[in-house]
Amino acid sequence: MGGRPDQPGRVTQVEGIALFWRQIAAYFRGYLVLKFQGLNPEKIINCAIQQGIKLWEVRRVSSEIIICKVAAEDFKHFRTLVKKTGCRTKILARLGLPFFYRQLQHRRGWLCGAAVFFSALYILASFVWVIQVEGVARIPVAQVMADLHELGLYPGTPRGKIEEKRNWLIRELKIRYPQTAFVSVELKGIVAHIELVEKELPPATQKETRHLYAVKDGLVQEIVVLEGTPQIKAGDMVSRGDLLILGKKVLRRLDGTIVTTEVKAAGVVKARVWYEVHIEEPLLYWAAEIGEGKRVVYYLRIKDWVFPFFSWGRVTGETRNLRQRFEIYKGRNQLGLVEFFKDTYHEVNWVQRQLTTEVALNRAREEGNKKLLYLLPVGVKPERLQEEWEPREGFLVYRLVAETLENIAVGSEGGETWNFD
Amino acid sequence: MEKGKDRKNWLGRLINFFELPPDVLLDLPRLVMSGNEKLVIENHRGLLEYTNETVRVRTAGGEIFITGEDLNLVSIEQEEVWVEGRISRVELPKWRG
Repeated sequence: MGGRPDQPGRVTQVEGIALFWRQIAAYFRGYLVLKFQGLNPEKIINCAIQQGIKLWEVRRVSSEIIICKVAAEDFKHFRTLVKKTGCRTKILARLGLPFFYRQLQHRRGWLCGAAVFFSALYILASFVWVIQVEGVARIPVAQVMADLHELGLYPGTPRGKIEEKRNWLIRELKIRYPQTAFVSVELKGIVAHIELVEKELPPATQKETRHLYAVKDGLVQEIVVLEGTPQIKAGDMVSRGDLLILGKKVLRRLDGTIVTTEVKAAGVVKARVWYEVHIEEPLLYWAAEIGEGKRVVYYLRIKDWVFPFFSWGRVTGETRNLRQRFEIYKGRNQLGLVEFFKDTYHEVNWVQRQLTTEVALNRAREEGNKKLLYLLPVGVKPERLQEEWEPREGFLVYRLVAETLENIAVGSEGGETWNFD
Repeated sequence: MEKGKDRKNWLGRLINFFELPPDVLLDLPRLVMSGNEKLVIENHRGLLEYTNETVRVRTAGGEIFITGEDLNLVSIEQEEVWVEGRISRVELPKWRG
């Protein structure tokens, strides 16, 4: 059995595998099912194994009969053993590949039939017999099948032919069905899976009449009409709500008749628009100054309980508080379980101060620019900025005017004004 | 006989001293049993009796007597016997050594 493994648990495992391979080998080399009959059939078994013959699947059928399996090549040794032991031996079955092959030689018709069957199976498996169209919801399957037939894919087409022109087939299907987002052709055995995934198209836009109006006051500079009839011209001053492009189109036919059709007005009306910002920056203001009075209080906090335990100093009037924390123990969850507070209270004195014009102007500019950012539409930058200021009764009055060039046309339903599908 | 016994004792001590496998050097059989279903006997000297309930195997040390139900010899060859079935008892009567 090829050595003796040291681990007893491994022995049966190794021998089980060896037994399996021995049976496989026996099948390929041929084996016999033998019947030993006699008063002491164990004797012939002992004699056989002493000669190095291997026996397997030994079964006692009756007191005088033992059946076992033995390799066909070892059977020749049994002639002498039978004479020596007095047991009768009979071959019950001849099994394994050599005997099967010998049987086949006698059954040529059966062999030919099997060969024809497997050949037919192989040949028929090289054709596409079933076509499955998947994934279509709006496209009729019958139409797809008709198109596939036209493109050369139908039951009975050789698989190799489809494999060759798979990419071409996919491209043709994509051209024929532009509403698809994905097309695949897969061959699984004799089945051709065609998958067409349709695009999810956005809902159709309403085909109603639409006019374009001015969304803000401005001086018209440029008009681009894509659809509809313009009601203004460059140089006109328009106010918010004025009609800019009418959603109607007038066509004069060759016979002289005039036809008016309602359309969805589309276009761009660029106009100069002015934005104005007013800022009043005080030149006098009250500032908080920290005084001399000071009070310091120490606290100990343990979880939610706070204990004041030491303080010094005195303050009167308005105060400003500054808290400092000193963590002592974080605790298991790192939440700061125990810590010290130091609260410092300073007296505050309010004093009046005067700003210089330059400082006030800088502050006003900063605030004016911030406000202008909120006023301007997204993506529009001012083309020109103009600013004026003058000190008046303790304030610096600041005025910032920004001039922009932007599209002021908007549809009655809002949105982009040049999207005219 | 006495001389043979002395030799065996001396050999046994030597084997123990060098921690050698006694089954190989003393020509003893080796039995590997998996639960009560499989029993592999290595280094046997022949089959004495085999029925569906009993298997008797001769070894250098004496006889191994196996009783059970539906006992089959899965494989038998010069070095080993593989017994399968529902083994209920393994006895070593008349064991020498």
